[in-house]
Amino acid sequence: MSELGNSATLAGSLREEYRKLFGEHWPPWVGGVLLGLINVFLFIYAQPWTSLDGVLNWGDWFFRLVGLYGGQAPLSPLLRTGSIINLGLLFGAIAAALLAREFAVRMAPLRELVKGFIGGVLMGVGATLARGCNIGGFFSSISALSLSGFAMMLGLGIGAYLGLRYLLWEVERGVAQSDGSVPATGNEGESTWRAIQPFLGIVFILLALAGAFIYDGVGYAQRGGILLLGVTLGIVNQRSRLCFVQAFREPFMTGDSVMTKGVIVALVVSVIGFAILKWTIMERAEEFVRPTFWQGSLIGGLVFGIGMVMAGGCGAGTIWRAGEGHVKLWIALFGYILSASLFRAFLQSSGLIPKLGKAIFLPEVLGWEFTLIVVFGVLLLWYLAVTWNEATGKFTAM
Amino acid sequence: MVNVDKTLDCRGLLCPMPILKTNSVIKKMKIGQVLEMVATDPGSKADMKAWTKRTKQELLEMEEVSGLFKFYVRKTK
Repeated sequence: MSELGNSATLAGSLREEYRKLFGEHWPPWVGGVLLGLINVFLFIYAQPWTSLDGVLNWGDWFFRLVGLYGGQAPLSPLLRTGSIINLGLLFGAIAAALLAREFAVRMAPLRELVKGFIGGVLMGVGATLARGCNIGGFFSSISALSLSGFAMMLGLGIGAYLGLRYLLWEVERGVAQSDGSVPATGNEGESTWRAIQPFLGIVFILLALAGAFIYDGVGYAQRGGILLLGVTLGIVNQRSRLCFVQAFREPFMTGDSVMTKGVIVALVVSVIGFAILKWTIMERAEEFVRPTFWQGSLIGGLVFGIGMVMAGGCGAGTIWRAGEGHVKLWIALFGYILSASLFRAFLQSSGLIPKLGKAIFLPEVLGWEFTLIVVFGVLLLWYLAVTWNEATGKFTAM
Repeated sequence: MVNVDKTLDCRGLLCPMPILKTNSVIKKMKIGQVLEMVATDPGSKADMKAWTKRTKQELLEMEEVSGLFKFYVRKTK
């Protein structure tokens, strides 16, 4: 009898755990800590987190398949590290959304779909100029102690502000309408769908694990590890909804600073991890320091910033929101893939690449100690600025 | 049940459009009136909480029926 009682309690507490993990969204700072840690693991294991690497790989494949690009075939999307991270992110987000019963194919009005595509195209151009999306060019670049990361941060801030001005103008003109294309509620299959979603989520997790085992079985164990780290990114992103778009946009909109602080927490964790690794392993010190300071990163950040606000998702957010079932973000991702690949081909043939800037590794200029003081100083200033803005509403639009 | 003065349909719209539209509509309402906003973006839950807190409007009720989120906001200022 007592055994039965125990198992009932165990089931009860497991249900409670499940409710906490998948019934509620995690606080953004929790997402920040976890994303920072996963980025450090990715760096140790393979390369820092970025969406552009995989997106370029997909675009190159697309244009090769339609016959636009000739020459040697790019590495398979199933082997290219950046592509595996993106696939894992998408997979993890689908699994988490299903486990939380938040997955649904969500149609959007035509105008929103067009905005998603244009936003995606701008993101592709911006990310190519900065040699990374907001993740690779900003988050991982600052973590890698590359000065280009700060130039992109400034560009993203200006771009997010301009993008928001456009959206506000659109709303004031009354052109952004819901067309009621999303069905109301309570149709027949609804309760069955609710009931089976968590089981489908578990199936997706098992498929990801099976994928990792298959990689291991065919001699690519490291790729399997990358896939699982990508899946973890997707789960953390979907559950915490940590959003880089909101981190840059919200201070100019409602003034809410919770997402900005989540991103700052992610940066603190990630910078500490990268710094320890770079400081101790000399050969890796200058990894991921891109020659885009300042022109490429600043202009790229600005264009990317406008694009991500229009699309409603950043380099990572576009992928995990697509995983939740938003059609607009699938279209944004498609635009991002096409434009990144085409724009890079244009840059390579134009001879403009050397004009994008220089590679500046901060510890080489400032020394290690002073570099860390400056990096954490900038993050502290950002933190204080958004906290002050939240209290005073100085820069808010509402 | 809350008495609703105006309904705003934001189904299918994504962050930040529901908030921008809600903000724009509530500006044109009278103090004390109640706005019902309907959305499908799961992000709108946290966004509406943050927006009502920042703009000091009163979030009376929030309900979720199979992927449809309904918010009731009373204009207080």
